[in-house]
Amino acid sequence: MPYPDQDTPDPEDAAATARYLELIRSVHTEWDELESAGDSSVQLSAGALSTIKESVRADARHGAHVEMPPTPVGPFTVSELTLRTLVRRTIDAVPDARALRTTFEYEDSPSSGRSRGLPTRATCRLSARIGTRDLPALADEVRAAVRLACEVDLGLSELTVDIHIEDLHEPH
Amino acid sequence: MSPTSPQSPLSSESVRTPRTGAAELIDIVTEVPGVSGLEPGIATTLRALDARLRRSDPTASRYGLVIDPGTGDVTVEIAVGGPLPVRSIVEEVQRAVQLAVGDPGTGRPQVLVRVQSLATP
Repeated sequence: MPYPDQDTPDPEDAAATARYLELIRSVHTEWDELESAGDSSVQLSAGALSTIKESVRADARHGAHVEMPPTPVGPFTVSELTLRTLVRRTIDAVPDARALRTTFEYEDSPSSGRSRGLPTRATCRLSARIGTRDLPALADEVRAAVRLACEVDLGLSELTVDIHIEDLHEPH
Repeated sequence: MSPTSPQSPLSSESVRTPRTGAAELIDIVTEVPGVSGLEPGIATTLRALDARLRRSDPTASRYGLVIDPGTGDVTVEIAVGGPLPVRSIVEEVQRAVQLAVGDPGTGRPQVLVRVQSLATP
């Protein structure tokens, strides 16, 4: 099932995530209370059905899972949404830069199903503030910031980062 | 819900089945700094529901956290946020779970952390 690589900042995603987390907390509480009361009917309720629908929507929002270098303790993955969010907030933190769309290339995944291997290359498209004097320097600054974020946050030390300035924007 | 007791029918599998259940692990995971909450995908949601419908071990599955009944390995799906690096949050989650259900010295059980979303400060 294809998922969009569009890196459009979307406040709806954050709001939907917050609603979803709250739903899950309430369902956990409900199940625990029913079990404590000895209720054997903790099975498919209207709430459970609703949760399935929400989890399908969440799955589409998250996208595929991407393998990361394991921590000293064990394996971990991040969703494509997490990867795009990390890059977007890193680019937006660089003065005069605004993130547009970022795409990734991956190693083949040893896992079956909808998962991706380690990222090998990120192509970051961005907008530069009108009046930026040195665009190559801005590109280098963004590249360094993205590489550092991916190394510190994810343990990706050999990610190739390509920068494409494809738009200009007015200063705030 | 109480953790599986040594007197329970599951005690014959105590070597492979953690006595700390999924509900207790959820509390442990969500107390780790940087974890915003459990954020299940469709896979753990369906596994949790499947366990309910089959009336299998009720302590092993919750939305967003599943304990494999055979190996004891744990899969947990989380949302993260705040200033801490994602990787360090993940490592702390793994250590906390291993400390609760296994032996960190042996690296068992394996704890797979799936980061579903990252909140932007």
